[in-house]
Amino acid sequence: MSKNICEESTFKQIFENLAQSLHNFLFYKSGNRALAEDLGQEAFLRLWKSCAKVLPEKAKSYLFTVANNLLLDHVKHQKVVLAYQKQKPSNDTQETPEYLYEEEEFQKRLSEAIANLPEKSRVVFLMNRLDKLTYQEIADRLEISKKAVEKRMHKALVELRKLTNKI
Amino acid sequence: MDQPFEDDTLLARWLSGELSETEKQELEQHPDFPQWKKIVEASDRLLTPEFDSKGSWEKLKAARASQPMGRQGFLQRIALGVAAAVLLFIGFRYWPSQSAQRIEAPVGEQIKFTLPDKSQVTLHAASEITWDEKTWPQERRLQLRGEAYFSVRSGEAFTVQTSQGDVKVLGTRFNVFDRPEEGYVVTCYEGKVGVQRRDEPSLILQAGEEASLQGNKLGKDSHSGAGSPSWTRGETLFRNKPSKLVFKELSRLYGVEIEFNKVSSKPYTGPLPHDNLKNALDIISKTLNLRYEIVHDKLVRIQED
Repeated sequence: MSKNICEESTFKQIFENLAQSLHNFLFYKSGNRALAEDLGQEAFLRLWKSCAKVLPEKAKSYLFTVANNLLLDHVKHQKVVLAYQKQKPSNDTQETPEYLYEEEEFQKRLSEAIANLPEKSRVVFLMNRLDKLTYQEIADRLEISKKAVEKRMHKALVELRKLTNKI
Repeated sequence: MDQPFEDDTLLARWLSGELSETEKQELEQHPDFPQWKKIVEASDRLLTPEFDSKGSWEKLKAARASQPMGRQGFLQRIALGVAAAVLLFIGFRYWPSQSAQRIEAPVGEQIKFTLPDKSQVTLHAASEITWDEKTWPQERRLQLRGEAYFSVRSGEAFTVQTSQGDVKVLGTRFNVFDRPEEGYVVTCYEGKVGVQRRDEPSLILQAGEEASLQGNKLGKDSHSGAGSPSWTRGETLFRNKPSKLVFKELSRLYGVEIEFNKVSSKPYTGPLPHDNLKNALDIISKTLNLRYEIVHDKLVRIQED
């Protein structure tokens, strides 16, 4: 109760806890890095302006709600392009050049498939796989139930299998 | 094939390791299971988008600093003095929340403004006032550091809190001087004012009366001031004021540092203007037999003649 977002230390702590997560969320939705950066800033700026009205424990849902609203004004989204770690050849006998080539191909196909996922499933999938957030943590950020997160995640995997199957 | 499972959270719970043994066995026998494994493994090689947290924080800080003043527009801001009009915006420092309001007059400036209830405040140099916009309609209460002259619209209680005491009024005109190293003086020009210092019994002042620290206690005196403090009218009238305190006031009025270590503290009585430092220094030097030197525009040295 004593903590107040208007206090610099509290505000900074919220930023450190949530800035990257918010930025990634915006990117997973829009596929636009510059936009994610700008809208993330804008969301935090609005939180600061409303610091007296928003309780610290509500900061998270406030930020994600504002970010989501801000995105509505930018209907034209880009394709989400993700980088991935290149496979390093190891001594494993299984890793023939053909195998590595296939892996690389699959990696590309997966990235393409993720970009083509329905937005809601994509956001949940990436928040879980990349940001390592639990379903409950994602639910808190998006203000939906944990069950709804699980449904979106399940759907993401069903769709990804179909999408990566295409040659 | 479009919906391979009846349970539409199954794959999600598989990933989070929340499946029962039977569910797990069932899933592992699904013909597409190897591909899901492959998808998950490949997704673990995806890289989190780059994010420069430090750079982003710096940018945010800069953006916050250049915030427009926003909701505080109801304030009617009148600067006293010509330069004040320009310096006003520098002098005004807003607390950027929507509820806590803060107005600060820097050294060398006075600021006159109107509170939400239409009460008038003249804030002396090197002083600040804060109040809570949210609770203001229920309770007229503000905090003062420094010196200010209030002309309060009659209504419910109006309280000025300072580090040295609280002043409670209904509707009146009064001045509060609160500078812990120099004193605490509450002067009533109209109506009635209640002054409460720590746990001492509260003093009631009538128009023409003044409460100040006498020794360690708050005492009552009459004052011969006119309808408002002299400092709100372009000059300050000192009455038997130790010269040390006069110099402190001058340094706030003109935004200069004044060195006066070697000056014995004689009392000064008389007016000093706010608009001409040289003039003010001439007057006080002549009266108290002092010599002054304007070292540069921010430093004045005063010695015994």
